[in-house]
Amino acid sequence: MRVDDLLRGLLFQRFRVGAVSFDFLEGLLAVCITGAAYLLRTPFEAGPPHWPYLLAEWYLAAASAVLVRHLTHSRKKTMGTYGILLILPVVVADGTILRGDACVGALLFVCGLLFLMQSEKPWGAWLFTFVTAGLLLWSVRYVGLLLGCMALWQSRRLKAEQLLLLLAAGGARFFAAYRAWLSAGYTLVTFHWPNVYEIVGKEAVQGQLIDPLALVGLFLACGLSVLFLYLHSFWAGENGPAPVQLLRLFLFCGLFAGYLLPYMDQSYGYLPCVLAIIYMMLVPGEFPVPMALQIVAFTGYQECFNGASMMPMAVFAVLQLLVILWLGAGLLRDAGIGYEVWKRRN
Amino acid sequence: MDQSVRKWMEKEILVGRWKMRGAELLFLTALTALAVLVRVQVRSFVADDWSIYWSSWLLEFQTRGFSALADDFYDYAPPVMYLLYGITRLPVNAMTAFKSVCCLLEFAGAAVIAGIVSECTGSRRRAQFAYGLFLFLPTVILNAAVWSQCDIIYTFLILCSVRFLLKGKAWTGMWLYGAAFAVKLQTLFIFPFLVILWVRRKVDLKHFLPIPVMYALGILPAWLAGRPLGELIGIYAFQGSKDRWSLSIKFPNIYQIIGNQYFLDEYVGAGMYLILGILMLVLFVMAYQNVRVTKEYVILMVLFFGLLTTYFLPHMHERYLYLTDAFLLIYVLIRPERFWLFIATGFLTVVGYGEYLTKHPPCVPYGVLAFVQLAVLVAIGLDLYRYPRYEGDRQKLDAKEEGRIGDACG
Repeated sequence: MRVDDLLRGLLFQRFRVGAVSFDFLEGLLAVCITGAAYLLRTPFEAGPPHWPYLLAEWYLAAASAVLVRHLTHSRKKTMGTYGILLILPVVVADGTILRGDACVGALLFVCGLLFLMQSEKPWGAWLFTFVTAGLLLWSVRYVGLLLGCMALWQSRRLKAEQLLLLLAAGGARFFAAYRAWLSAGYTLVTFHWPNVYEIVGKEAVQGQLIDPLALVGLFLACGLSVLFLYLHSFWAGENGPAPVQLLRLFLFCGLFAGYLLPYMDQSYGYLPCVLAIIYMMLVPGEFPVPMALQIVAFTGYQECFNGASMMPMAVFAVLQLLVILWLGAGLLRDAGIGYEVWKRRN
Repeated sequence: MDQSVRKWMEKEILVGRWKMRGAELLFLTALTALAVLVRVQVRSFVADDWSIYWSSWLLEFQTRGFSALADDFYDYAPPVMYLLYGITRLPVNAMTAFKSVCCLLEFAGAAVIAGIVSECTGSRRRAQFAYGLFLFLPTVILNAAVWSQCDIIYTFLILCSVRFLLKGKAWTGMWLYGAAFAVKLQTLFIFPFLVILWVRRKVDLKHFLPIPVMYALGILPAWLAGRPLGELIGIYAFQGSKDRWSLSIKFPNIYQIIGNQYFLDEYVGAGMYLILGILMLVLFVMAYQNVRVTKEYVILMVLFFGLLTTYFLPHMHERYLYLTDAFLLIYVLIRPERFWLFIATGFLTVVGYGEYLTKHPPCVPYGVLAFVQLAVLVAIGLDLYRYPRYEGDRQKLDAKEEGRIGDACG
């Protein structure tokens, strides 16, 4: 047999290790992309990459790949998710360059989603609730998830006691954080996160008892969130959202809250970027969503390292707005809310 | 007279092996004459690259002859230097001679493009259109005739290489690819398409041998002249480390969006590893694609990899889309509904040339151009991804059409 044919045959040769079967090419990609991901981090370090971050990022990629495998049953999409998340610029920027902890939050939430989607039994929802409550208590940057959880309760995917726990955790952190931030005298309303304040002006008002921009933004976020829940209540589905709809819901809620809330920083974009990759694997046609989000979030990180942005951040804020509108339109489609339905019900 | 002129225009004339109508011959002659004229008119322009680099290199050759190759004053691949050395032996103005050689290759390149288009589409008209369009691409005119650059040399070799690969002549195609690699490192931008051709049994491993062999042959005279072998082997590595003052040199890629003046050293390595990772994923997807490797698919692969690598690699120059411009022209003439891509990139690439030559910043920021370039990359990427379906649909349509004709003929 010729060497060429032997090698070509080997590429697609199926191997089995325990219960796992894979092609040689899949194994090769897994090894090579892990190596490339390691090397990608080395230029930013004096020595080898800091292993706790590397390990956490590897777990995030692996957990997301497991989630995609569970939802799509496609080995290629699983490998794609694993590979993309290992070399995702936002992941490298947060963990390797900034030594940020957003990776841990994203990993926990992906695990939470895995619990929620893996089982219809109550323990899955409870595990998801505990993980999400932990995240909500940890940082305000996950407050958008609370909105998603409320929508899940409306769809009967979560129980009232679970929602109450989440509301308590999220509410406590939210009030404590904003009480401190609103009186902290910050000079900016957004910190390298291209949201609405990059369009309307991000300079905070100084020398007043309150900062009107931040306060109005805060209440706008709350008010529009309630309106969103009102709209979402039209959702007729008794069985709750399908996995794609669930991901779209969390993506939308996460981005929507962060777009209006003041004092958000660049790491706000981390979780949506990860969720968007998983979302794309479920709906490949939606690939512009993760692509645009990656650009938006990474430019935030870039502005943070460099102190300046190559292009006006307003451009990226508009890009993010388009993504949010697109996802919102998708949610309305999921809910079957068109003009006709609105007219009939009102 | 009117009748005889019209008759001549309709008449089939044999030019060498090619048969064409009088009108077509007239059209091609007029185009060629105009293309020559514009190049003659702009030949006296002296670009900074010429006055700073090329003229001093020529001076070295003029004073010291071939032995000058032993020194490290040049960072181009030695074959380009042999060309310069040859020019110094001619009794004509060096710049005019250099530009003339490159312009001649442009005409030859246009002919090869016409040949590829003709082979892929079977249309004589499209081929002639491609010939004319390539010669009048702003970047093609500006590159050699104005700027005294030689991107046409490796582009021409790659065009020939692809032409032979399309014909199934793997050895000739790979020798030419090897020759292109010996001339310019930028040849590697499209290298992954050869990997896919290997997976699809269009080339074998032995066909890759000409690449190092041609490179070795290319550096041999310079080594014989006395330049150390280590330096010659690493000449491309030295080239890569030269432009460390910006991540993108007037090239509309990702660095124009995220910032091209920061983390210069770090992003060089990171950019390389990132594109390596991206290429791994893309090759993985393409290896599993259930597709028939048609001529159109090969052109699409060359185009896609040319666009993809330059979009993420650091230190790209404004001239590095020259090759993809040529292949995009071929592609849009195969699929005319994609012509907007050609218009978009034609505009994008000329902006950097304009800034270099006029020394005035462009009216449109490079960040905006980078977004347009991203849209072009995505469009081509989608065409590649959806190609199996497109090809399947087209085959079904062809079968249906054949059936319809068969029915009509009874």
